[in-house]
Amino acid sequence: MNTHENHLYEERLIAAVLAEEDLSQEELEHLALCPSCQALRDNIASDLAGLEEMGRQAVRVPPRRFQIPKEPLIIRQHRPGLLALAGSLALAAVALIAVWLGVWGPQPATIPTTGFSPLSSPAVGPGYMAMPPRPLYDDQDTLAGLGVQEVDTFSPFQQFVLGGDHTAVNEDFLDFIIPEPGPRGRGMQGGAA
Amino acid sequence: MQNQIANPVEAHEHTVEWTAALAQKAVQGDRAAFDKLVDLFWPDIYRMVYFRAKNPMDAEDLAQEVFLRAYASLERLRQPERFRSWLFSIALNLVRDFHRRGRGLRLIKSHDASKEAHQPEPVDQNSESALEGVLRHEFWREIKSFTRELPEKEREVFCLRFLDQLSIKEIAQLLDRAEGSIKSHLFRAVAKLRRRNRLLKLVRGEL
Repeated sequence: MNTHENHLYEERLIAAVLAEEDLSQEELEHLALCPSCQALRDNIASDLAGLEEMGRQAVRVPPRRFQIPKEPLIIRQHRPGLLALAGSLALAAVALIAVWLGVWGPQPATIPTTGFSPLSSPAVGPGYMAMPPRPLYDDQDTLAGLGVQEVDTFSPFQQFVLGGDHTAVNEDFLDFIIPEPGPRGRGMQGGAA
Repeated sequence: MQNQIANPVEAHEHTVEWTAALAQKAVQGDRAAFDKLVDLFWPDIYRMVYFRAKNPMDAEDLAQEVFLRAYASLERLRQPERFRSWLFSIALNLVRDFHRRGRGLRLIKSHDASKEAHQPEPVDQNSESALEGVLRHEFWREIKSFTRELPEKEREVFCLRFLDQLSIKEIAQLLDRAEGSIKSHLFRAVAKLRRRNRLLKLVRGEL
């Protein structure tokens, strides 16, 4: 018997209220003879009954408005299997279209690869250091060797606005990024301007 | 008295038998039988959804939807004697859907859930005294505070047993679990309730 100083533990008293059939014969016999345990059990029972009653009274139930429909009803049941299949098919279709566009679709206009990279200077941040840094003249030599013109980074409209000759702009820009070593710090002045 | 608390449905065997007979007739297409079942269970279902929806308008809509679905799915009721737990399972699923939709809407509206959690229960000023209103409000506050502290399974079982007043057997059927498991959750929840002095005083009318 689960007892504490010859009385039932609280958990057994709760069981006695909620599921008396769970109590052993010995516990039932004790409960039948012990006024102290009976009082505690009745106390628990009374509290739970009060709780139920307050719960009932705490909601005011409106009069029923529901009327049985005259026509037979058919509630559409969701079929998770079908839904998942439809979703998978849709995803597969999207993936196929993406692959088809990638292989057969219009190719983006490409700029001839020259190996020229103005950002391959050691002064550029570590994010661009995947390729080993090469001196600029290497690229120029490559360009000369391939006979490819340097790609103009300005559109015709920009060239028109800039007056065709934009080398000075480019130089200032590069000066700002890569200041020339020297006592006057020309690059920094250019950048500030 | 004690038996009523332990097994409220089993204490009314005639109601259970009557319900099963009505459900059997309703399954066979008897509209009048289903109408009587609606009369019988409308208060229970309304209370059940109200406890969870916390809004009279939503509760009424949900309760109607429960009976509509039950009526449309009657042919799937294999055991008419389980009509009550079957009806509650429909209600429970609808409430879960309702909260899922609510969560989605809250995400869209950036609704502050904490405000809702402390929203006072609506009090009908016309039909109850100020004291009753205060006690009712206090009761809800204490119940919310207590159930929030319970683990999910204990909370679910506690609410189904003491607020929805289902028997242990019906809860086991509804949640598709063993009665022993339901009992152990319930006993733990009640043991914790025994330490909630304020709620118990309220229930005993000592506040």
